[in-house]
Amino acid sequence: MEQTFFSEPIQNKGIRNTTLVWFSLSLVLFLVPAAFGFLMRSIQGNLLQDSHHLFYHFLTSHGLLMVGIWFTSAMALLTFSLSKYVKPRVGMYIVSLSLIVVGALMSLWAVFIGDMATGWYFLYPLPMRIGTATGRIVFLSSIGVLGVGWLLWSIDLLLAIAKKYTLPETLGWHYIFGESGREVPPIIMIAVVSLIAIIVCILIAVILLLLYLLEIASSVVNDALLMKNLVFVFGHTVANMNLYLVIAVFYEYFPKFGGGEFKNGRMLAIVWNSVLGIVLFAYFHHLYMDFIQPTVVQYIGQFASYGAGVAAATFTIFSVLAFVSTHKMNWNFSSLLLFISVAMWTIGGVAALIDATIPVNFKMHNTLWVPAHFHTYYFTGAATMILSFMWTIACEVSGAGEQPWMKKFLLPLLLAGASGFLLMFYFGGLHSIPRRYEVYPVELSEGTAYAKAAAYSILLFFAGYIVFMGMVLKRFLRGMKT
Amino acid sequence: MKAATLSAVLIFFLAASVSAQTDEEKKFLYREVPDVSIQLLNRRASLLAFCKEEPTIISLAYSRCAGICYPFLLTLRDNLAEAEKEEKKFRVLIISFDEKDTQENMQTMAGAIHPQNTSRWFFGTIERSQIKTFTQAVGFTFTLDSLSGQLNHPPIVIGVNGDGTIVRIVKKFDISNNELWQVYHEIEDEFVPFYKENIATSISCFTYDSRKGKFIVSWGMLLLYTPAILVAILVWRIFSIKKIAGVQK
Ligand code: HEM
Ligand SMILES: [Cu+2]
Repeated sequence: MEQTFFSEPIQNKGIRNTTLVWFSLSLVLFLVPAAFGFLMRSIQGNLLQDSHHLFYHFLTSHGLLMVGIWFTSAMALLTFSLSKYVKPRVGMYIVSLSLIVVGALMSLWAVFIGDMATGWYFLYPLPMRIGTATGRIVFLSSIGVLGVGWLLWSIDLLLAIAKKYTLPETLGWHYIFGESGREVPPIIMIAVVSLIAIIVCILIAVILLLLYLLEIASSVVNDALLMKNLVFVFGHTVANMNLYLVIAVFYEYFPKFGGGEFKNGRMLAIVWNSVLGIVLFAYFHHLYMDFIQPTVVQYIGQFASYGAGVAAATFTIFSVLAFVSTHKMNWNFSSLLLFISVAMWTIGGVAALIDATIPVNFKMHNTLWVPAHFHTYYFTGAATMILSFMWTIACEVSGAGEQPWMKKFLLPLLLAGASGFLLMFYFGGLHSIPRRYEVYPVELSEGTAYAKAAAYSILLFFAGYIVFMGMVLKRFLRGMKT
Repeated sequence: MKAATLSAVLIFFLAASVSAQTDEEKKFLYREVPDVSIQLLNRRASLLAFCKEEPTIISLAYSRCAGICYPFLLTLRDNLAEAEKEEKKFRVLIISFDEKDTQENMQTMAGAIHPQNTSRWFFGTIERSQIKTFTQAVGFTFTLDSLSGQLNHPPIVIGVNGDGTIVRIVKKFDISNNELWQVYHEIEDEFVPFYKENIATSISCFTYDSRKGKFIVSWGMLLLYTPAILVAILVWRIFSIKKIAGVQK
């Protein structure tokens, strides 16, 4: 290997092996919700006739598992990368991961056996109306178990950081106020901002779950609007933070491909402090259609969405472009994939902002535009960034490099598959095809055609992914032995 | 101390969430009033046809009532006087569910209530065999007290729009002005957000005063934003732990 990025984290055997075990598990686990995704598009494309009754089970489980897996992988990647600067506890790391695996299995049980096909954010009152009584309890408990796992983990990471840095330092206040102080790498600052927001989200989820339990255990009827607010502060923000966790790592490692580094500074500190300030208000864009929300809240949602998105995304993309054009980049499989995924993150972000604009939302709300944009920044953005880092780590732990054909054939294959799949969502959105439809009525027959094309693209992606997964797993295994 | 405050807050929420509005009433909404025949002072008509002429507020009462009927109708009269000032076009129909009531009794009752705008208030009886049909259609139940011969019954206000469709049913003695306001606006097919009134069924972020069109922030807001405050405290606590020797400058 020409250069090693992760040499310090790799030295830490406990953290390294725990990370590698989770990464391996996640690569395989990913195939489950990915297969559900393929099955959904096949049902919508009339390629599959017999499993229609399972569409909403697939939909729910797909969303939950995908968010669960990639959120956890982002946390694992962050923990691994942070161990260069601070010392997270291996014990807590393992406990959290185990809780998360249990939670994920419980959710699978609840959806398929307990019939809780509510959609991944289980909008009230759906969980009270469908599924079996046990399914309901297991479903809500699975969210609880996942939450506890993430909560313990986040607190442990913050503790590790707190042992070395003060709070104002980590938030970069000395940069903002132009005071002298110790240098704080962006990864620390972005991680702290994200972890704080994540802990808030988890506490909100706890309240949400308690309200559900209250309704199950007594005759209390919850307020639907409050429940919707709660579920979206939690769901929207957790998904959003998932991206930021990865961006934290990205700031640390992407510049290394050009032999440079992203230094912390005043602008960056201002951007991430303002993200911390407004990120909890952005979720209101999920409630534009709820006319009963006070109008002022809708405007707050509009501006907070722009604020949180534009600040972080634009700043990042400009930094990346400026960096790439001024440095001699080592364009290998990882760095290319990383660059593409930042681009996808931005494209998805722009598509999101378009939809978060109130007049546009009146047209686009709940069309396939929604899965189009969030798959762009989540799947081809955040998840793909994690995959590129996995590849770098796999090469470094095993000492085996990459073959030239990977850049020439594997990358285009993965890209072609993924973008074909995404484009079909966008086309659907532009033709007002609704999301979450099991089969499209004749009036929307374009939807069926798009779904069919998407299903074939997904197969293309799978072909590339299986090869990639095999290569990564082989390297991880070798790495764990050393 | 902390635990005490917390449980006090929790108890408050639990108490506030005991349901005050009934789903029961919603079951009878958005259906046509039953087509029973009614007898008014100098007119015999079908109730449905009567309601289709103009939006109607119906209340049930009986003339020899020694209980809530008179005080209830008197309050209703006073509260509706305000609506009449707004020049609303609805009519008020008081019908008896007592088999023993006659047209004369009901006119005596009208005299006792003595509404200002007599041309818009109607007092009458329902065809005896159809009393049950009507009361069942609006979820109104009453029982005969065999000792006193009185009928035990709840107060009721039924809002029917100009299509003869029941759009609101309110069954309580102290109907707030807000609730009444909603009734007489909705029966004229004005858009009235069907959201909670000041009395919440459970914890919510805000309540809506439909009369003033104003939102009132309520306890649920706390639920949304206390976690942020708690976490601020938690994070501050986390960062006040001892730093590893040597790294702190
Ligand atoms: C192989 C890759 C993937 C495929 C084939 C796929 C496919 C799909 C399909 C077909 C839907 C339903 C669209 C509809 O509403 O009609 C969907 C929804 C969804 N997907 Fe994916 N997806 C993939 C990757 C991901 C990733 C990586 C994530 C997140 C990290 C993700 C998160 C979600 C979520 C949250 C939903 C919404 C579920 C709901 O509406 O309740 N997907 N996906
Ligand atoms: Cu009475």
